[in-house]
Amino acid sequence: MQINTIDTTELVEGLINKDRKAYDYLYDNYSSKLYGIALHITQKRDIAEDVLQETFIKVYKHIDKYDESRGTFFTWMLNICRNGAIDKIRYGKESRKIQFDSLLVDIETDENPEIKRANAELWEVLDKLEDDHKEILKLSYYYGYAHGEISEKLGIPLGTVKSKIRIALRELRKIYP
Amino acid sequence: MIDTRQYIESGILEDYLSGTLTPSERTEVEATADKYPEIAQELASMSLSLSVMADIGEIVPATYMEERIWNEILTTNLVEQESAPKLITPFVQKPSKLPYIMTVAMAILAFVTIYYMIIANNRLEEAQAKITTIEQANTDLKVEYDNLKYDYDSLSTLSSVYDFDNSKMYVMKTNRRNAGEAIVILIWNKETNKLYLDIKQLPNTNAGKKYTLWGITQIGRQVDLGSFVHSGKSQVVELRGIRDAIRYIVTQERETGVSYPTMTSVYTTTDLY
Repeated sequence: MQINTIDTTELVEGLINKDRKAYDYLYDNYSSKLYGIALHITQKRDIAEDVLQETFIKVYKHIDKYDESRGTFFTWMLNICRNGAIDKIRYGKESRKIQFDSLLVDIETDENPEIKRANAELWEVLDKLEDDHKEILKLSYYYGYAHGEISEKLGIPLGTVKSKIRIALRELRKIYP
Repeated sequence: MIDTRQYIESGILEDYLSGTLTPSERTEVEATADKYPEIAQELASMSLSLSVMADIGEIVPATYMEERIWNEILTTNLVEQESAPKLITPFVQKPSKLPYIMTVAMAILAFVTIYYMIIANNRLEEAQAKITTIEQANTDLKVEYDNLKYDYDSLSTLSSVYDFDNSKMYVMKTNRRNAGEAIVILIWNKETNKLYLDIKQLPNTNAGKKYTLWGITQIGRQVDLGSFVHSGKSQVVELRGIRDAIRYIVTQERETGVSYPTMTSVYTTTDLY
């Protein structure tokens, strides 16, 4: 098994066999992305670390159910991580509310410079999107609101919410190819 | 045939990628994507966009996380099944049925355990009773065997002692005052000069005492020919022979021994012809 070039089938097989090289590949290629998502959603380093760990455990537990033909491996992991992080802030000990109107997170200020810098970089990219697209992406991907909830809160049809998400993602790819 | 544009704009692909569809809805989307390349392409494109979002917010975790997670993977029971990926659930959580199921399962387990313990206990008692019976039978058999062996050994001894060609046999007279209904046969082998007492019946030796056979010679000499104890069972004892004895007497003397027979303690006597 090669470390840098590995196809998904090979990776999945390695993960099922608890192959350390497969784990190294998975961690090296995806941990930063997943940790970033978890940290942006939870805004707490220790919670984000727990989310990251739980994501990896779930991936290992359900790797036999992963169907390569049904989507990218990363999308699958991303959803596990994202949903895990959202559950933490909604139902966990660190649950918090989001000030919907201002889209500010109502939490104690985390003085961790790493988080502040990461937040700044993310918002800098998202700021290049149109306001309504930016708003919906934040609500959907970083604050964990379901499409129906966004529709209700923003007072726009559900179809419009979904449409805006799709367009926002497309725009994002243009900005950050 | 569906309108693919309308299908894409319905937003179902966003729901699919965000993991909010039910399993049957997911299967339906996947089947549609398989059938219509445009939909599959849109799905792939959106999936890529999600990766882009992750790329933007990428943050390297602390260095200790790599080993921490690996150790957790090695120690966690990965066989345990969970529904994956976890869907975003409504704010109001449903009460879990797990405690109820656990209680019922534990009650059933406890009932089954007690049931088998009772059965096991009954079987154990039966087995112990059988073992006790077998042990008793074994003890009885051993006693019987010991008796038979003793009888066999006695008969073997008697067959060698009763040499009718070379021996003289005398049934000793009983001193009823001391010996009651004693039956003692004296056998003297002239060839070997060995002397035996075949004791069929004789009172048990008193505490601190022993039986002694004396030979009385023609000139009145009293010779100690040996001692023995008797505990009820018939036995044959070998004693020292003497050629010039005209009379034999059996007395009961103290264990430390005496020089002359105590005539008040004579049990049996016999005169030679």
